[in-house]
Amino acid sequence: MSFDPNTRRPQVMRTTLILTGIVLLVYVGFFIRAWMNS
Amino acid sequence: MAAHAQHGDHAHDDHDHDHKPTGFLDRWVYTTNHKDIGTLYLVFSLIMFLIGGAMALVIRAELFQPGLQLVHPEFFNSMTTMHALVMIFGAVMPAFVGLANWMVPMMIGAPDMALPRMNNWSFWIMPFAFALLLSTLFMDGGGPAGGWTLYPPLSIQGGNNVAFVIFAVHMMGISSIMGAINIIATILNMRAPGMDLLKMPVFVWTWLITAFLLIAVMPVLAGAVTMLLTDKYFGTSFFNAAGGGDPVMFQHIFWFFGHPEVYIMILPAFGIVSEIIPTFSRKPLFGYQAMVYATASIAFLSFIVWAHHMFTVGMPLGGQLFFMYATMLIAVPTGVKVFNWVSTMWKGSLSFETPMLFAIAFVILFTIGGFSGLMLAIVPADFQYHDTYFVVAHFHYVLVTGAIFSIMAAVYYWLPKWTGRMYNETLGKWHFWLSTITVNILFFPQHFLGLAGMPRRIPDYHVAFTDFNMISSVGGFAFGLSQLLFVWLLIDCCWLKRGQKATDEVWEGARGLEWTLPSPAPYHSFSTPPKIDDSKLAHGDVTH
Repeated sequence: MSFDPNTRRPQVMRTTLILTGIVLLVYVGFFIRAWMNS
Repeated sequence: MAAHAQHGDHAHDDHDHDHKPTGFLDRWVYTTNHKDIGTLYLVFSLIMFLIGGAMALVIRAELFQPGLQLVHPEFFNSMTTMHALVMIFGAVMPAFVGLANWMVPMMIGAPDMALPRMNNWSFWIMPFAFALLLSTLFMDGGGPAGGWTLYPPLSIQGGNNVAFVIFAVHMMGISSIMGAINIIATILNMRAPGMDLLKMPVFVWTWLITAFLLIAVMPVLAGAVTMLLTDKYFGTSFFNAAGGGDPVMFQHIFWFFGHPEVYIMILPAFGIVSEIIPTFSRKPLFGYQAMVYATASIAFLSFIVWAHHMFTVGMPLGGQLFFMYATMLIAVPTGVKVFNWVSTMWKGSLSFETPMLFAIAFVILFTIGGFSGLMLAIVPADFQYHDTYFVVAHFHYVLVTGAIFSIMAAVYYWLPKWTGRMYNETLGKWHFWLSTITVNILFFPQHFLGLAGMPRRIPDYHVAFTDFNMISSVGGFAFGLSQLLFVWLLIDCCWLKRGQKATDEVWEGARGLEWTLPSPAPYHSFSTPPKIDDSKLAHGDVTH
């Protein structure tokens, strides 16, 4: 059985998108929170 | 001697069917191979370790005796700031990412990282980030001198180095975030069939948890430094009290990043030590699942202790108590880990090759750093210790004899697998003993200096502190010189290829998928998924 990383591509892309979303949310979230405080 | 030497050529030697790129650019600049990128990270980390070390020696030379001798105070402050930034973001973190790149795919039976091209980008951002950061030393006004914590208003009172430093920090952050996404995507999606989550080696587990920490806190640092940038150049007042902002808020935001960052630099170290101790004890790891849960607990607690860095800024009593007790709570899962390492060694058939020596030194010396951390967690005591050399002693025990010793241990442990050659064991032992003795001469007296009240980040001091500073400086230079032995050992093993050929298993007690591959590991590994044999896992069969 060959191990073709491309067979995992959909899962990899989904994980990547979710994690990128978290990164952007945290970045923007802290900005907004700090803005409210200043 | 646990190492097996093998003299004949291996049937699967690295030049068999690897299709390795031949040109320098193709091999190293355009590479998407996890092993090559791992090597790039490790070499970069070593260079940064030497640059950051040179800065530390400037600091120790100036502090050899009281009075101003060698450097201007502004440059001294610049050295403390740059030493920290270079060591944290340039040496320790890239070293762990390099180890993850090399080992995680091999440990979970994957052919490569999940996102190989992003992997290349993650690395190649770093040299540019550090070129930008180090270039500030040659600018008018010099490099950043407000401390690595970049507290405003001091940090933004520098010249234009502020913009360079902030951009460099952004680039390092982007690199770390991409690296973390890659590691999570690899571990969650690329494991060989049968490699369940709770069968993964502890190093992989600790890196999975570390990567989540990175995802959660690097954007916070990016946000904080972006706000610094807009405060300096675009007229905002996030941290400017005169404009309605709050400088203490920066400290909260910074340490919300900064404390998990401390664990980002130590959790992979826990993973490394959890791989090495079972191998040289010839026993499975004691309490595998407890190790995993303890790591997760430490990661969770790291998010709710940040304000212990700022007890002295003024905080309600309830806040002080909360952060004090939450901080002390971290000693519980950490204690579980130390107990498990000691229990793994208990009645084991121990041998003391260089990786094991570094791992044992890690357990003992990191625990000293942990205990001084507990002392600092106590609010009324912290009022005395805050901003003194006691803090410097504490975090250098955690980061040098903790993180750096674990990286050294990992390099000695996996070097034969990477290069196919054994390193020079005699030289390795010399490196270990010299490092361990001198690092204690360097940092232990700093506890006494701190308790006596010597402040950190100060180029001059009261004559009463002279003796311990002299001892510390002698230890510092001796420690620095000891590392040249390590550099020579690496040249000897990797470049001159003078060691004996290593077997596939390398160490007699080694267990886990990476040891089933030939030494040196082929350029492309596990293109067919390996069969997972539970009894051959590093931590034994955990299914029953």
